[in-house]
Amino acid sequence: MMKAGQFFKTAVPRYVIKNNKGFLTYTSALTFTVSGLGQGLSVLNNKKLSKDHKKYIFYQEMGTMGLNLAALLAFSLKFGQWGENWAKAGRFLPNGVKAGQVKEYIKKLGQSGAKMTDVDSKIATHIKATGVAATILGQIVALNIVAPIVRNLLAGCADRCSKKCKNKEKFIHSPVLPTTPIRQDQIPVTMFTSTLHSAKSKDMFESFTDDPSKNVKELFN
Amino acid sequence: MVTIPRSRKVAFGFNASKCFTNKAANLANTKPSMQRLYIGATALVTQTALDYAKWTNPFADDETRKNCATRTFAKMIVTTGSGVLARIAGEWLGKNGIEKGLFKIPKGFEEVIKATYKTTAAQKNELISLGMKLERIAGKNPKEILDTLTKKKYPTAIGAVAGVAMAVVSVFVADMLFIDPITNWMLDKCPWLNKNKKAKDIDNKQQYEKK
Repeated sequence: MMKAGQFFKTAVPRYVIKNNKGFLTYTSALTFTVSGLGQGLSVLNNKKLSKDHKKYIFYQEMGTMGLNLAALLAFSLKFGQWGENWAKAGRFLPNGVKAGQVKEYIKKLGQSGAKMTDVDSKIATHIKATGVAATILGQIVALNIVAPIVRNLLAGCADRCSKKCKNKEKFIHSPVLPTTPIRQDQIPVTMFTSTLHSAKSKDMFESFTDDPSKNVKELFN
Repeated sequence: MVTIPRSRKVAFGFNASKCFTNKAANLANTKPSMQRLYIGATALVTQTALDYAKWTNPFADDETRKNCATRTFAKMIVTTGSGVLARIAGEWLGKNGIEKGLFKIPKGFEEVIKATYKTTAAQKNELISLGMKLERIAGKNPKEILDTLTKKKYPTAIGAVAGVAMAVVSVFVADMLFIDPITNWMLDKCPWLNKNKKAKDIDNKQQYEKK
């Protein structure tokens, strides 16, 4: 079995030289995943964000992480392949190279022992370069345009769903009975005190005599 | 009527595809640091705008959108900065590590180069695309050319590997430590980004004036 040191010293550099666009894609996917995890943890530790914002941004971060990975793998290599195919079809050719020479070069690739010329090596580099350029373009489209739009939509949906679930739970655990607002002047105690302090009651108290039966009659008249 | 000669029209025009194709050979050896820079620079503009715009972030309210956009802006500065710097450091380590004897080119690595660049012409072309002048290659025999290419290619490749390894560590640490302090600082310093803060400031001012 290959040792770890040997793997990093020979196998990975070999892959970098042979397939630079693959290396750029897979390493980007790795770093963006690690970055997403770090950002998710930092959001949870942030004390200045309100709970609602924290939740929304956390969903967004986790969505970003998954989406970056999916978008990168879907777009980046596909764009790279398109770029190479364009170059092989004779588009975007550099100075001094004609479309016919590209066709000849592709024929030579299929023949074993065919002699490669200077122009052929120029075409090979050009095809590789177009592939790398298209891969980077694919990464830009995937990471900076497609992933942010989709993640915002997903984070919004997730946030709405969680709020709905929360409201449902509240409704189940604490049912609210229908109530009507109570007017202050309709409470019996306040009604009694207000009548005591009214002008009519003052006159009534002044007219009170020593005979209690008369006073009662006065009160209920 | 004055007609512009055809040659002059060409001289004033900008042919983007020709410009791209003539410089394209350099892109075949794009370093991870440059790739991260291209992605980060475009992300700084597009991702911030997409988070801030209502039609691309329709479910969030105004304040959340502002928070998101501020956070994305801070995030892009930190992640791009740390990613590019870590990769540059790795690439420097790869390049100078071989010169100073930290790494050695493994035996038989020439075969890997030979398998990728099959002819001497292809190897010469690759050396030119790496920035070597034609005069320096002209007098060399095929073995010397292969050696020179191996010495040029291996440090770049090991540098790319070291750069990515460093970036993985640095991105995790930098993202955890710096994104939120920078976001909070931006929200504190820019009142138009933080509605609550703006309202609090106005309240404080009114209370001060009353006193």
